[in-house]
Amino acid sequence: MRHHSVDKDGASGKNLRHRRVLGDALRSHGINSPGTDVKLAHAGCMPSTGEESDRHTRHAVILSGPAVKVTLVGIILALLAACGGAQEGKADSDSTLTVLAASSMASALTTVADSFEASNDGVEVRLSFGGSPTIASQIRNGLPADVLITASQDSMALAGTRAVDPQVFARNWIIIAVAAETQRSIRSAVDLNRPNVTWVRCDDAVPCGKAALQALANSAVTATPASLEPDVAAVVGRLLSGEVDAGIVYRSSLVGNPQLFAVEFPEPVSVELLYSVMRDSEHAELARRFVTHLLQAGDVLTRAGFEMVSP
Amino acid sequence: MKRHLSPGIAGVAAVASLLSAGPLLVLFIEVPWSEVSASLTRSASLSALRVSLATATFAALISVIFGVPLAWVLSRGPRRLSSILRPLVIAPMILPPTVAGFALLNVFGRNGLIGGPLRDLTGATVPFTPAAVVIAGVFVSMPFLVLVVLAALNQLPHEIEEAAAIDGASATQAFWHIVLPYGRSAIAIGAALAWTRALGEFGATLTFAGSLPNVTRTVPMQVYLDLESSPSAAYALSVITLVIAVLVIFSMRIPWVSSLLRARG
Repeated sequence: MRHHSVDKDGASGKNLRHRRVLGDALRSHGINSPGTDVKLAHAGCMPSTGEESDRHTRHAVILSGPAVKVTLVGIILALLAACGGAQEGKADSDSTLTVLAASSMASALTTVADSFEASNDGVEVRLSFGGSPTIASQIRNGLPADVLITASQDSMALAGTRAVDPQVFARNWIIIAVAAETQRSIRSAVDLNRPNVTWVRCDDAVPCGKAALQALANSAVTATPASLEPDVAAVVGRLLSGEVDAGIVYRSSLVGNPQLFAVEFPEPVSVELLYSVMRDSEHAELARRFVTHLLQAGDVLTRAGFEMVSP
Repeated sequence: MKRHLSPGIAGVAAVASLLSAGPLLVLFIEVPWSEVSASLTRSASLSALRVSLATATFAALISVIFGVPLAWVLSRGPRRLSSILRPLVIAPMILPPTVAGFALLNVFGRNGLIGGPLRDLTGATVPFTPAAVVIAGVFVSMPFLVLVVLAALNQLPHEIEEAAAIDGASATQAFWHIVLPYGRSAIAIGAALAWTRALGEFGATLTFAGSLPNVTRTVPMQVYLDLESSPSAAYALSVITLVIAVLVIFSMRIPWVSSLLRARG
């Protein structure tokens, strides 16, 4: 019991010292000036009865000294500016399109958006990529957006009634991507069954996972992957980091990654890419022009590994 | 004496408590209770819970075994050593979890500093195994234990260990018979914090250990996937984690637990 109480005293002594040091520091910055106290009493920040203990007065002074006030005002102004900024962005966003797209579209859609901006003065396209169910749920939960592009009908349906009249415009084929150093050991899908091969695919919840499941079943792959990743970009990441020998990805995933090689499934499986202009889009006209631009950019998508589907 | 509360400060405090507790309360209100029990007995939820509880418990145990001696060295070792070491060992606590996972890959990945030679020698790899989940858990949660225990040990007067030394006790004996009993409550609180932190770990686990049902898929990963595919399951798991967190915090205030935790003289 003894040393316990000893250290307790020691601690509170330390605290007291701290408080005194703080008080001195504040006073040396002129925070305890009489003028401040008068102002504070007027502002109703501090009781003016004069009955409080010394500690209380110091607290009140510390908490409402000019330096603290300046800081508080600064924080509030910053918050207001942040809110105002957001509203402003919304108000003059006549020329800003928000496009949510499946992560497999990332590189191709960035190219398409760049050329759309180049040919439409003052137009800005904001792109956001993620797993199809994730971005569709964001739409359902009210994220302001103009165009949604998913990699399956199912995930488009998750977006709810805001996604009107979705149209299939392209296909993406499921393949096995292998790293250069394991290229020799994995020549066909069945090689994934070998025990010393570490491979990953997308989770069943996302389109690339569903398609991978089908492709693997078709080619009699029964081995368990090392991990089920939340989207196709994560599978590519595993390959690039060298942690896995193979990953089930899209053909489009290989574009821009020359260190990865494709092994085809014996029975090709693909996913459908769909677009939809949001029902509540504030720039539906511009959004439709963007979609037209996307459909005309067939060569960009083809080069990126997609196959265009004519309406 | 009546306590004074400045209305302005109280207002700010109200905003703060709304920000912290508000979303949790709303989560509780929104839970579709009728579906929760059904989705909890779902095998995916159960296996995620099992993986999480097992790996977090291992992570907390390892944190105690290694963290307590570390805290002792930081508290009693050479001052220069501890001033260099302290920020380094506490850093994982404030690192973005994905960065933590990336750092772990660089060490334990199959091409990593330790993982590479390990693979060449034994053929075994660390990523994508439950061991990787435990390592990620230890990495992010041990600093919590170290900080709590270090704060307690810094309060222990040196004179007590010196007195023990004069009476002929070795430094090791002092550690076992003075430091450990004295720091018991801090170790318990630190272990509880580390355990809950490991239970909630997401980014480092996903980056380093991957996500395979029954093997490495933990509750946070399952909740993330369930958000879209089966929201009621996400609610069920969220409520469980919330209840666990609240239980851990409140258990420290139950009289018999706190009396157990209190250091005896």
